[in-house]
Amino acid sequence: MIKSNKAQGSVEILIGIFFIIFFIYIFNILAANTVETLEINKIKEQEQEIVLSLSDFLYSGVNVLEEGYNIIAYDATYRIPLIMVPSQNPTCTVTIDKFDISIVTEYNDRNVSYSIANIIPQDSYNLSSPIVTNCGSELSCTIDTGKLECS
Amino acid sequence: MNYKLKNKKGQVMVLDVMFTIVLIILILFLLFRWAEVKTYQSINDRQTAELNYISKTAFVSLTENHSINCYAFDNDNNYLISSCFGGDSVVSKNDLGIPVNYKCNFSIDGFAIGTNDCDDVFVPANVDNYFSVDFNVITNTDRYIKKSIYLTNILDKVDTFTEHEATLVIWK
Repeated sequence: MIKSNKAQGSVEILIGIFFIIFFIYIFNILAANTVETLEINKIKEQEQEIVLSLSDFLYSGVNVLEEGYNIIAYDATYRIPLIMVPSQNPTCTVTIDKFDISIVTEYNDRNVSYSIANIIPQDSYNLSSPIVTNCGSELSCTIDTGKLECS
Repeated sequence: MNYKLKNKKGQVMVLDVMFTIVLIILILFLLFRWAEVKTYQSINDRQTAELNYISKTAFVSLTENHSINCYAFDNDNNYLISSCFGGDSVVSKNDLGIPVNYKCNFSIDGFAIGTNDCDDVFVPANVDNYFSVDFNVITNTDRYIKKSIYLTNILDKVDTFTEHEATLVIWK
């Protein structure tokens, strides 16, 4: 009778340990997924800020071009900010083409992207091929022969 | 007797563990609900920020645009007159920088613009979020105004131009 009780107790302890391990495992997966979702949202927020401020920067060049302030040479530089989340500093690529300003961030083997239509009038700037650059690098714009040129 | 006491202790222990597990699961649910709310809020904020950016840019482009607003001209120069529209003004989504996936409605109370591409039908009940601005503009039959007339209007405060209220609404 006592032996049987001891065996039952051992089985219960084993089940308890197994349950705790399983619980921790599930909790870890769920917590990691939650953190990842929150970080992806943070990345998207930062991506949007970068794309909108970049669009603002390009638009200010177009305003100067349209107003005809050509007394001094227009030469403006914008440093594209880095994207940062608590777990890592992911790399990101910014692409400016005729139709879109887009940004792609590599995060945990997946691409997090955001894009907005390029609202700069197409006849205001020379953009024969898309501008592809990385976060942290500088984008310089000048006005040459009545058009905005960025590189 | 001794056996019964042990059994009761076991029952209390099991109840304690059960309560703890239920509490932990409830906390987990709370955490996930919080994450869900944060995610939804973040998506909403992004959509609002994009709408605001496009709308503010469109508003500035509408009131200070070389292709849309009036000019005061003399023999040598042209001067842009902000917030002035002529009967021959042409308002296009492209000039306002409004992407194709956005809709807009621009109207001037009591005045018809020559060509207005910003004429989508706006029904507030069908739209979750929209940007709307009312502002005063001056209108003239022609976009090109003689500088002498323009200066007379400003310096002598002669009301040559007609003042109207304009409304710009942008939504997705």
